[in-house]
Amino acid sequence: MENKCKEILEIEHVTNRYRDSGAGFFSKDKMTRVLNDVSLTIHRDEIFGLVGESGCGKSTLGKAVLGMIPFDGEIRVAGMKYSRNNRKEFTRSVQAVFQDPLSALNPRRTIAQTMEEPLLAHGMGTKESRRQKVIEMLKLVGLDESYADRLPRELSGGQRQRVCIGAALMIDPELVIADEATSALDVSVGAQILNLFQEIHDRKDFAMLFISHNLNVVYYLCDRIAVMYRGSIVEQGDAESLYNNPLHPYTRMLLSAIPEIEKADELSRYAFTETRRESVPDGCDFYHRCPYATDACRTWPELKNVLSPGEKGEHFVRCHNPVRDGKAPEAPDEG
Amino acid sequence: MINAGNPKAAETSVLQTDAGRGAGRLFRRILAAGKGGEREVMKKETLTVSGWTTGDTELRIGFIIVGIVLALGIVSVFYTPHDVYEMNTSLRSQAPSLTHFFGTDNFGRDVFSRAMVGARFTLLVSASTILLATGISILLGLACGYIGGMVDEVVMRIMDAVNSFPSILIALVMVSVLNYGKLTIIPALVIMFIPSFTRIVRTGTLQYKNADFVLSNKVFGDSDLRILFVHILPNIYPLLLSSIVIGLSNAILAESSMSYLGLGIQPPIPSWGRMLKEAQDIIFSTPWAALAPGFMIVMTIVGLNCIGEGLRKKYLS
Amino acid sequence: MTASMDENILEVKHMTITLYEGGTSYKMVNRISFTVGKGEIVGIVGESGCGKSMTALALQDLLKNHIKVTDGSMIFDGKDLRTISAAERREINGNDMTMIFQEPMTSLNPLQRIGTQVGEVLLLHGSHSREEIEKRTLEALQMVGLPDPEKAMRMYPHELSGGMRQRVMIAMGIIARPKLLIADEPTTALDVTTQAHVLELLQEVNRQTGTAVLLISHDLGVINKICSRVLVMYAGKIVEQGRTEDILKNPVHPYTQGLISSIPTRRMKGAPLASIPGRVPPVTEEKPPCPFASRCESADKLCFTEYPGRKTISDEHILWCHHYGTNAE
Repeated sequence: MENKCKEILEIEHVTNRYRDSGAGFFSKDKMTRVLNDVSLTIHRDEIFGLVGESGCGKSTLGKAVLGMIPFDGEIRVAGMKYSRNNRKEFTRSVQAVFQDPLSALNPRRTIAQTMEEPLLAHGMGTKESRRQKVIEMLKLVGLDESYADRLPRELSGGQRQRVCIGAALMIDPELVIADEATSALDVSVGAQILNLFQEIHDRKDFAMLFISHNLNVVYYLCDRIAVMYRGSIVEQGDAESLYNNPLHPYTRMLLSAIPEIEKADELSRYAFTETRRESVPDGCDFYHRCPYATDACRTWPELKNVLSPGEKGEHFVRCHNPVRDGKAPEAPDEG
Repeated sequence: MINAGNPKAAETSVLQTDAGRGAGRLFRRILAAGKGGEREVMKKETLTVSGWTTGDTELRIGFIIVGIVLALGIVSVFYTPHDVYEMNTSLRSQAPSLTHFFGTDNFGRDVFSRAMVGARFTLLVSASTILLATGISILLGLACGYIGGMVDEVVMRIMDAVNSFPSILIALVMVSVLNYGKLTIIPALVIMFIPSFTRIVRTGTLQYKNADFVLSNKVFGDSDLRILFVHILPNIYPLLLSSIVIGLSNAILAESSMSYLGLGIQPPIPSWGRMLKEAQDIIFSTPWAALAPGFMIVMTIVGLNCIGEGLRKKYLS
Repeated sequence: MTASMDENILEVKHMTITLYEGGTSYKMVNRISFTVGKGEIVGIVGESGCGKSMTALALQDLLKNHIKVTDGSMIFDGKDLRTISAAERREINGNDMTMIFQEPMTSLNPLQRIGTQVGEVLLLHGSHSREEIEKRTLEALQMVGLPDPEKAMRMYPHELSGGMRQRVMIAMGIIARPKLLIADEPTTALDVTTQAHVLELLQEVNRQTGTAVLLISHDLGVINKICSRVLVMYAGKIVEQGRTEDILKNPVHPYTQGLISSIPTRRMKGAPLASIPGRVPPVTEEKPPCPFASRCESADKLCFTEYPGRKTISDEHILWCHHYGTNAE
C-alpha cells in the first residue's frame, strides 16, 4: 500500500447552490446555498462523522463526494476526481450505503444479483467466484447463504441494510459513505447495524464518512466529527474532544436535544434555550437561534483552532464567542 | 433432547433469525414434536376475496377467449374446413349449417374458414405492429427519460405532432406514401402506436431514474446502458404490459378499419376488416357474412381488454 | 390495577386484533390490557411490527377492512368503544379522543389553509360561531408555539417546515380539548432538535389542559422524556409495564433490557452495543407462548411450552416472564 496519499478523501472549498425560482410567478430567481465553502479531509481507515439537522447540507455533501451533483470546488477520493468518464475507476474506491434499504435495492432482483452487481460492473471474477464472494460477504454481514436467492421484500429492514452494506463492500472500496444508514431503522435494529459497522471496520481496511443527525450515534462510531449548520462546518474535532467539550452553541443544542434514557442531572446536560431573532445575511448562520449572540456575530466567523499549539488532536470551531472551559458566555440582554 | 418426530413439520415452521440461535432450534423441535403451546394461527372466520378484485377472473376469461381465437388462427395454417379462396356458385349465400358453421358468402366461400384465416392475418399484423412499436418506444422512452434535456424535448414534441393528427389519417398517408404492398399497413400502424408507448416508458424511466436503487447501482459503477436495461426497464414492464395488451386490441381495430377502407391486407387474402367490407353490400341478404367477422373482432377485443384489466389489477395495485 | 374506574380515561381489557389474510387469521395484538389515567402521559414502546400502531388505530376505529378487533373491551370515558354506535363513535373521534400521526406532510390537506384545517374539528362537533372557532384556532396555534399564528392561519401546509407542520397537527389534536390524545410516533420523521421541541410541547399541553396522552414510540429515550408510565410491547403482547423510572433503572424483562442497552450513549463508546439479535417475527409466523422466547438469550424449554404468568414486582411494575423470581435477581 505504498505511494498512496495519507488522506483518502479531500474536500476543498466545495460550494453548491441551486436556483430557487420562488413561489410567485414573477418573483425573481434566487440562488440558495446548500454547501458553503466546505473543506475537510478524511484519513485512511478512520470513521468520520458528519452531524447536522435535515437540510443542513450533510447529505448533499455525501452526494457531491459520489459525483451525483454538480458543485464548485474540488473533491478528491484517493487522489482522483470524479468525472462522467471515469465513473468505473472512481467507484472502485468509493461506495455508499443509503438511508432507506428498501428503496436502495432493486425490487426485482435477488439479493445475490444485487450484491454481485459491483463485481460485474468492474468485470471481476468468474460466475462461480462471484457467487462464492457473495456468500462470503453475506456471512460477513451476519446473514447466510439462504438469503442469496431471496427478493428484498422478503427481508426485514435490518437484514436489507445488511445486504446494502455487504454490496457496498464487495469490491473492497477505500471509502464508504453511510448516509443516515441507521435512521430509518428501529433503535434495536440500528444498534445491530452500528455493531456491524464497527465489526467490519475492525476487519477490513476502509475509511467511512458516516452522516447522521444523531450526535450520540456518531460519537459512538466515529473517530472525528464535524458539525454542519446551514451548509458550513461550525465545529470539527476529535470525537472525544468535541463530544465532551462542545464549544459551538449549536453543537450544545444538538447534544441537549437527544432524548436519553439516563437521567439528565447525572450527565450534567447543557441547559439550552432557543432564542429567535431575524437572521443576518452576512453574519453568523446561527445568529437567529443563538442565545449567546452579540453584535460581533453580525460578521462572518472563521473556523478557528481552539487547541493550543502543543496539544494533540484537532478541534476547530466557527464562533465569535465559543463556550470556554465548559462555561457558556453570558447571554446578552434581549434587545 | 426432544424427539423430532415429524421432520416435515420442523421444516415448515420457518423461524427467521439473523443469527441462528439455539433457542430457535429448540422451539422448532418442540413444535415438531407436536406438544407445543397454543398455536397462534387460528382458522376460524375467513374473508373471501372475489376474483374480480384481484384480477384473476378477468385474466382467466381473457386468456380463454384469446386462446380460442389464437388457436383458430394457428390451425388455419394447416387446416381449414373448406378452401378459403374457392368460389362455388352453387353454394352462394347459404345460411349457417353444420357443414358451414358461419354460412357462405355471395361467392359461395365458407365464412368460417375465411374467419379462421382472417384471424391469422389480423393477429399477425396487429401483433407485429405492437411488437415493433414497443421496441422502438422502449428505446425512445428510455433515452428521453434518462438523458432528458434537448433529446427529450425534441423527441416528445415530435410525438405530440404525430399525436395531433387523427391516427387513421396518418395511417392513410403512410400507406399511400409507402405504396401498396402486402404488409405496408404494419409500418403505418406502428407510427400510430409509438407516441403513447413512448410516453409510458418515459414516465416510468423518470420515476426510476432517481430511485435510490438506481443511485446505488451508479455508485457500484454500472454503466448507463446496464442501468437502463437491467435496472430500470424490468421495473417498467408491469406498467407497459397492460398497455401493450390494450394496444393490441386497438391495433386489431385499427387494422380492421384500414382493411375495411381497402388499405390493409390486399385481396384475396381475407382479414376481418376486409370480410366486413365485402359483406357490406350483401348485409340484408346474407347477414352472417358480416356478423361472423364482427363477432370475431368483438370477442378478441373483449378478451384482450379482460387480460389488460386483469394484469393492471394484479400488478399495478 | 390500583386506579379505580373513574380515575381512568381509558381502560383496555384483553383486546385482541386479528388480521385476516388468504383464508387464515392471525393475531396481531393478543389479549392486551392497560389503562391510561386522567391527565396521565403513558408510553407504548416496542420495535416496529409489535402491534403498537395497531393498538392506536383500533382505539380510533381506523383499522383497515381485513383487520378487526375480535375480543376484549376498550372502555373510554365510561363507554365501551366496541359496542357504541357509529354516531357516538364520530362524536368521540376528533373531539374527546384525537390522534397525531407520524408523517405531518401527508396528514394535512395540501389545498386547505392551516386555519381552516385546525378549526374543522370545532365545525364538526357542537355549534360554535365563526368568531369563536377563529378565536380558538388562534389560541391553539399560539399554544403550540407557532411564531406568528395570525399569519400561519392563512398559510398552506407546504409553506411550513416539518417541525411546524407537526405543531399544526398537535394544534388540530388539542383544539377540541380532548380527554385523550394518541400520538403515534409523532417525532420519528423529525430532527433531534425539533423532536425535543415537540416533546416539550406535548408535555406542556398535558400540563395546561389536563389532556391524557398515549405516546407511541420505538425510542425509549423519547418515552423517558415525558411519560410517567410505559408499556413495553413485543409481538402483540405487553411484556413489561410500570413507572418509566422503574423500567429504565430496573428493567427485568430481557426484551426491555435489550431495548435499553441498544441505545448508544456516551458510556458505550468503543464497546459493542448489546443489541437484540434477530428480528420481530412477522404476524403470519407461529410464535411460542412467550413471544420473545425465540430471541431470548435465557429462554429455556418452559418458555416454549407455557405462557408466562403475570408477575408483580411492585405496585405498578408488572411483567410477563418465566425467569423473574426463579434464579436471577
